[in-house]
Amino acid sequence: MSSPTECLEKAKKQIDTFREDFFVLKTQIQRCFIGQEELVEDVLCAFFTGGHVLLEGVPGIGKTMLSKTLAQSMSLSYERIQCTPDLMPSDITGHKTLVETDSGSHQLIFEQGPVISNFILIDEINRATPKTQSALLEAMQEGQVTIGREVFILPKPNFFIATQNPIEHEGTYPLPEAQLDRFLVKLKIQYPEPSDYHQILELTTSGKTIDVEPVLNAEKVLEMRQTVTHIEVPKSAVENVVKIVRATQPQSSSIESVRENVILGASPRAVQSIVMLAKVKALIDGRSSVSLKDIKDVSLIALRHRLILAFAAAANQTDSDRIINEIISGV
Amino acid sequence: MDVLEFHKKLLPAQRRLSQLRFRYVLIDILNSTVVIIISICLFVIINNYILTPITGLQISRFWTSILILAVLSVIGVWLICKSFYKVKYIYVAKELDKVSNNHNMISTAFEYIESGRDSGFAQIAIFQGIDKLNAISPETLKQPLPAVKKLIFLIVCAAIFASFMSIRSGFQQSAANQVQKGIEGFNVSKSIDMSGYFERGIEKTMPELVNLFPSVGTQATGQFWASNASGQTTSGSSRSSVTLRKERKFYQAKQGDAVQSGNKNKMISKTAFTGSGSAITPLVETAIKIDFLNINAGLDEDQLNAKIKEKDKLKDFASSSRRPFTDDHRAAPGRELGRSGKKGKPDNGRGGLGSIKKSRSTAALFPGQMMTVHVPSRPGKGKSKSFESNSPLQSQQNVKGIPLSSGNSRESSINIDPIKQSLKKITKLYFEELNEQSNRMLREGQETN
Repeated sequence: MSSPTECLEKAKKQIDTFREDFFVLKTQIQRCFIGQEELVEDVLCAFFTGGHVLLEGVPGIGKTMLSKTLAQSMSLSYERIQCTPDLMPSDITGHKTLVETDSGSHQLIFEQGPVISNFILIDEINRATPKTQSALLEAMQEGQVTIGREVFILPKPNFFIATQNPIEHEGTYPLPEAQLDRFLVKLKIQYPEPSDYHQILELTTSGKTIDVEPVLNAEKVLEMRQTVTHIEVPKSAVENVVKIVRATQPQSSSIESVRENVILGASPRAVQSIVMLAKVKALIDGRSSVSLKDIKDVSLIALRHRLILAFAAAANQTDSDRIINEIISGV
Repeated sequence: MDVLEFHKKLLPAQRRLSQLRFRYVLIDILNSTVVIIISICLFVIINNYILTPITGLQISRFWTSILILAVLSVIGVWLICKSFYKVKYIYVAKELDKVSNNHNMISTAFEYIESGRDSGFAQIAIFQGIDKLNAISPETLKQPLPAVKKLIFLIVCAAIFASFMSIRSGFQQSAANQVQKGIEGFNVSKSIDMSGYFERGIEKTMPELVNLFPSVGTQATGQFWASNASGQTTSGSSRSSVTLRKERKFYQAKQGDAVQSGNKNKMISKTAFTGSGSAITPLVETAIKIDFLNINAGLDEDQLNAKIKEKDKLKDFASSSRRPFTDDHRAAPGRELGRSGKKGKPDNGRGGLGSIKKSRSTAALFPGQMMTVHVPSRPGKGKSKSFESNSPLQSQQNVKGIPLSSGNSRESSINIDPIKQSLKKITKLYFEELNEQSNRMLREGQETN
């Protein structure tokens, strides 16, 4: 058993290493993906907690670009699932195929689907049917796929990043609540800043190509994820998280707008998500303990897709972001 | 680092915070005290000067001072408790975090030290917290000045207390009146009971009946009783000249209203209302005072003040029990009964009214006729005397009728024609003859004895 001083030194080293690797990865991504630093940081935070990311934004603002760049910057197995209405669950999970062997006999061989990979980009997820979307539930939550009687464990680290378009309704299928809850965060990509347009134009129209180099491997990612779990959380922060999550539940909320506009509040999974995200935030800030500010900073991205709003919300022209901000300011 | 060391580091900040909090509490207490006392005083003033003339209930000074003393005592106890209160270390740590805006590092470090977390990450958090604590000066701690947040709450509380005192005072007054009533009821005679009955009748029919009593008619009834409103809080003797002036202004305003409504001739006799103290309601008292001012309308301010004082003095004089009202210098009518039927025997009343009373009642049927009142003198000792008791009415003067019962009041006017001189003479002669005859009979009876 190591002495307290050794523990201290080890912890310091872990924090420093994490920060260093994190910023290297971030810099690497931002070579290709211009601007939106906060968004990139949030994606990486979600990645290092072991959660999955749902990216939402209008077409043409770089959702797929960000996902691809992130995958390229790490030497991990990468798969892309382009969702279409005729995509079947077996197209994602894989299926058994009858093949002829060299000896002339026939054999059932499992053809694994794209889901069995480290890094999975699910593009336009809301174009897949609910049946197909449901095929992702087990993989996202438990990191495994069951086909017939066989269970296939997904390689670690495992990371899903899905994109969706919020404005198109024709031929799309809204994600079911169970599916939404499996995403750690829902990030909204905004339009880039005016100053970023110049760099984007220069990068994409001048014929230049930027090769993204992988800076992290699987082992490194797992080590970093392990470091995140060591971050301390004071009682006051835990109480704060519980207070925020309970405030989103109409049954227990004291906030009028929640009771009026929310049908379903955040689940206990949301508490886990907030705490894990806050830990990464503390780490990248060089702290070994979560603060109340960290909790407040990550609550919006962790909760916004977990609230199911009533019709009254549309009538009142309010959305989940507004409700969550009200909750956070009240706590 | 152990807990004690961390406590030591927090001590200067704790002292600073305790001082600030004590200052905060002191200001808050001062605010509250001022608000409470001003509220009580305001309510008492409003009650005594605005509500008391209407409701008749007054907050006594005794209860007001008791209330203020109680409030001050509670505040004193509060202050003592607060001065001994020691600010907790975790509170100090949180306040320091707020000042330095450092991601709760100090309070987190304090929590980890207290809970004994010894992981590498917890130790880092503790050291980071201590570093932040060393970097902060306790002087940076600030407490905002307390605002008077509970103003409405305090005013409402004070109003409730004051109302309670007002009601209590009202109950005490009512009880005192009841006692006074009992004493008076024991002392007075049957005739007084009749006046009490009369007064109760008035009270039942108030205020309409009060306004219908003409002063001329009631003055002729002859019985004048005055009593002091012993239970009344507005004691005349204790009132200052300022109070008198204010009272007079108030009554003059009331009088002005009465004149406007055409009730100038409806004089309210004080004889009708000066009965038992408890029977006088504020409205009746007001009516009496309006009448008083009507009578003394021509007087200047000093004379009026003197009159009011004299009136109050009379009230005070009659405070112990019922006494004849002698303010108008009129003699009480005789209560002699009729003859016994046997000569030389004292009257027993069985003969009914005597001739004098009969004559007076007969004369009362002739309004405006000068009526002679016979005063019997001792037989053989000088001449019998007679004088005119009623002043003659002027012609065409309206006389208001007297309501006969406490129920529906009636009002009537009699148009009196000038009485012929010949009829006057005949009537006068008749009464003189009647008196002479009465004297003669008395003399004969005494001579026979």
